[in-house]
Amino acid sequence: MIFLDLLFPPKTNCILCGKMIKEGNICDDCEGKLPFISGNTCIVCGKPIDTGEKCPDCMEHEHIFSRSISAFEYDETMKSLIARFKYYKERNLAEFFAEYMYKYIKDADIKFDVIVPVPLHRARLDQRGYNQAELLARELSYRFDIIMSKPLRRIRNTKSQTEFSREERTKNLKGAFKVVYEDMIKNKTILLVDDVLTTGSTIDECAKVLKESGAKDVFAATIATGRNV
Amino acid sequence: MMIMDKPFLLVAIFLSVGIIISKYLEINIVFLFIILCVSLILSIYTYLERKDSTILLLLAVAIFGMVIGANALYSKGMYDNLDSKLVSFNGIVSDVMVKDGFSKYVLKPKNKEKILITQYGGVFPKDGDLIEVRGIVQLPQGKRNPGGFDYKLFLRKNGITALMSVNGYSVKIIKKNADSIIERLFRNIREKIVENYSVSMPKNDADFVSSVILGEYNVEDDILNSFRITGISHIIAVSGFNFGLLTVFMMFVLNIFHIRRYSAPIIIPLLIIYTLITGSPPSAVRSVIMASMALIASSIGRNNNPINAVSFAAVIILSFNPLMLFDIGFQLSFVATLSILLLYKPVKDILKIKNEKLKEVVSVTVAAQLGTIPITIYSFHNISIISLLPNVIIVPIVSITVILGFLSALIGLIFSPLAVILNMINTPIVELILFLTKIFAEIPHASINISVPPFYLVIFYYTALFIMISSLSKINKLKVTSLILVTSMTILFVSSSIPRNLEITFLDVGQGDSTFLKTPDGENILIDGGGRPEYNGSSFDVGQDILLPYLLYENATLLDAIFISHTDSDHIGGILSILDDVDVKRIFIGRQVQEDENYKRLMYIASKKKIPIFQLSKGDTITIDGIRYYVLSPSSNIINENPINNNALVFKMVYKNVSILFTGDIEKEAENALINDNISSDILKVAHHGSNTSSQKNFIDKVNPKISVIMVGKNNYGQPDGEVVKYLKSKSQLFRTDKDGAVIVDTNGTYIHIKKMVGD
Repeated sequence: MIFLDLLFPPKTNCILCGKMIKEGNICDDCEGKLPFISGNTCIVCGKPIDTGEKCPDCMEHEHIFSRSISAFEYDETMKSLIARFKYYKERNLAEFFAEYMYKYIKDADIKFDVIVPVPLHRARLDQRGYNQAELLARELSYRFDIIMSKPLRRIRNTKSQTEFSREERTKNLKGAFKVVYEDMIKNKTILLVDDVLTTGSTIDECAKVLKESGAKDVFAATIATGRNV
Repeated sequence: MMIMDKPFLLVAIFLSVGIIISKYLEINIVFLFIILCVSLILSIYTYLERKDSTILLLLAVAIFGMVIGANALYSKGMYDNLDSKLVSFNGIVSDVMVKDGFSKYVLKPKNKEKILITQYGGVFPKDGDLIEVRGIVQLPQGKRNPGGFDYKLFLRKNGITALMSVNGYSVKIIKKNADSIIERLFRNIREKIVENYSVSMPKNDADFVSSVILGEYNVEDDILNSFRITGISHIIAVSGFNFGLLTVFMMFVLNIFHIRRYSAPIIIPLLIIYTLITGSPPSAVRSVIMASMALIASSIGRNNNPINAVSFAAVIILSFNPLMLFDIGFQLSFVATLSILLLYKPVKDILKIKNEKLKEVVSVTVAAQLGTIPITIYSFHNISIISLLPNVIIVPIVSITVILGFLSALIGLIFSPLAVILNMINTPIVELILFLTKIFAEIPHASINISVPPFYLVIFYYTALFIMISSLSKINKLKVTSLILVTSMTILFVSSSIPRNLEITFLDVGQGDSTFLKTPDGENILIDGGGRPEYNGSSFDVGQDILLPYLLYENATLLDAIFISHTDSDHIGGILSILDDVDVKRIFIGRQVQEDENYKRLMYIASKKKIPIFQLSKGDTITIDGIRYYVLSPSSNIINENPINNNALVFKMVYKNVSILFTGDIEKEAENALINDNISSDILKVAHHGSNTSSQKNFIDKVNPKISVIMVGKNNYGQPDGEVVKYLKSKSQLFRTDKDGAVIVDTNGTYIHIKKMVGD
């Protein structure tokens, strides 16, 4: 590891303002400005709400996963950071995000047996070179010392969800995932990992196929959670 | 500038410093090895104690540099005890270069070091041939003159430790294609590509493209020279651009097959193969390491720092071959890359150019040049002052040629006719490049000669550059820069006001005479200029290749006086060749009894350059800077035997209590005429290269020198004569330039201190 650090030394400046820092990825000032989720949150999807237990969305639509935890709100800063993580090859950000996710999941005090990343379609993987959800899952797996498994395949290359409404999203994703082996998930509680949770339809679709294949329960964890659509 | 994120920069710097130290201080290698072990143990200990072991480790790196440097520089060569012996070797031939009438190639005998062979006539072997060669082993010579070329180091850097010069009948080709399969494969690919270029393009164009793509370096000398004058020689090296282009191209192909995420394991081996095909020059090795690191970093999700990567490349190359540090290609490639990485942004911020694209190109060029200028001056003694323009105009065109050249090379390996079409498209573009270069090179004073600056100025220069890019505030930058300026001015002033000695350097110009005087007030005086007889046939020119580099090194391109003893080519040749490159206040020559071709040429150049010429004869006295020159010959009695030699200018130079007798090529007739004059001197420049036609015992007795110097090189005249040498040795301390290299006399007018270039 020390040799890798010598060959490919980690950056020593803040990922947001570029200022030189001693350790870590972000300077104290910038960290203070990150949109951490705090206060009252929806007990299902983890979005911040003013009052009550569930957000209006979750009251209207039943989710298949039991609970989702996010560390940040999906504001402009997070949007650009996650874009850098996903599209601009800044894979080292995985560690940065996972650190906060780890804290939030630990605080939520949930028990799970296996960590599963939301898969990427092969074509996307070829293009991007890596699956960002898998990088996060791996980092979390180190931190919790809980096994990561990749039982899911994305068998359909779905269109980008960003412009879609809730109904269109669900439709778009129908039959997109498949469980390719069940040993690791049968009667297990699963922590699904993805980058952003907006309506939760992607995670729902994954949770559905996982449960169909015998998973006991499904939790989810994402970097950030978007506003309701 | 934080050093934390580029640890290898420090490693590279300390390693280089270690290697440089090993060159100038010969330290016992065993002793060094012990220190290395101690510092390593200490650093491991501090590491285990969880203390900062960085400084100790870097120290160990520097000592490691000293160990490998000393080993590479001073270890005994395998052929050292075969010097001047007739030996035969069997070995594989490589790096064949054929010029008219002779061929130079490298012979690699099994389990032995390489030998550079020059073969005159006969059947020239080709790359990969197994040959048997019989000849006399010669050991390459180190630096012969101050500031001169170190041929021994140059060859050692390439693993060559001996030379052999043979005739065609001493070479027997035993087997064709006797090299290993892999070598043969790469050679065949290379030859096939070169052949594809040469069949479909005019010679100069094909040479250019094969140099750019494969690093062939077989471009004609005049074209090479025009690249140098315009400051764009870098385009004919296999550069980072080639690797960048190949990488982008292969990425594109991988993308088509949707396997882009395997880019590192697929592209890196291909880049390595390309490097091997080019013969792995340092610029290519640097590029392949940097490109591989970028690819690996992106595939394992690590941050790649290009400065760290280029430093790592330097560490790798230097660890395998520490002498590369003294390779001009290595120096330019690494310093240029580092300069671009560090200075590109600061330069771009300062420049005020509207057009963004133009601004980028100019910034890259300026950044690279800022870093490399001192190296260029040190190695070539001149710089191109117009180079910005050709770089901005020609370099972008070259990139088109590179792209077409690569496509044609790749396609040509599979299907030649298509490559021919691409080459036909490429031809006018190459013609344009060569044409533009020629136009730029013809601009008067496009490249100017520059004397070598004192070393501390170079250090100051780089320090100033470093401060410019540091994070200091503007005011502080200004303060530090002016401090540097003031310091260097002070040093310059102080060093020029310290009283200096008279320095007399008897140069090693091979067979011939040339002596250089630096007077206490810094005036420059040249006595004869060497120069080989023209019938030798080689393109080697003593004036341009030895004398001028020496004068530039001594900062002596303004000569206060030239003395010419007589007009034989081995005395006047070098002077004729450099008169256009230096400024001369006056020329002294003996009164001429007959005007030969050399004399006429001298008169012609002198009148063109308006240099006054004074013909001297016995009785004349000249005083320059407190040093007197008493002319003793020619006298009014003309000597008819060998008139040119015997009527040569002979004078006694006197500085305070020290005197030197300069005798040109006089023979016994002239000696006899001088015998009753005041010829007794402390130092004798022995007449006529120690020939037995001069230096009669009674003459030497009369001169009674403490020190005598024979200026002589390899020759067929039996010079110096054994008897003469023996007698001079019995009477004085004898130096000879063929054994000792340049002989440097340093005197304050009373004491004489002598240093020789070789073996001192």
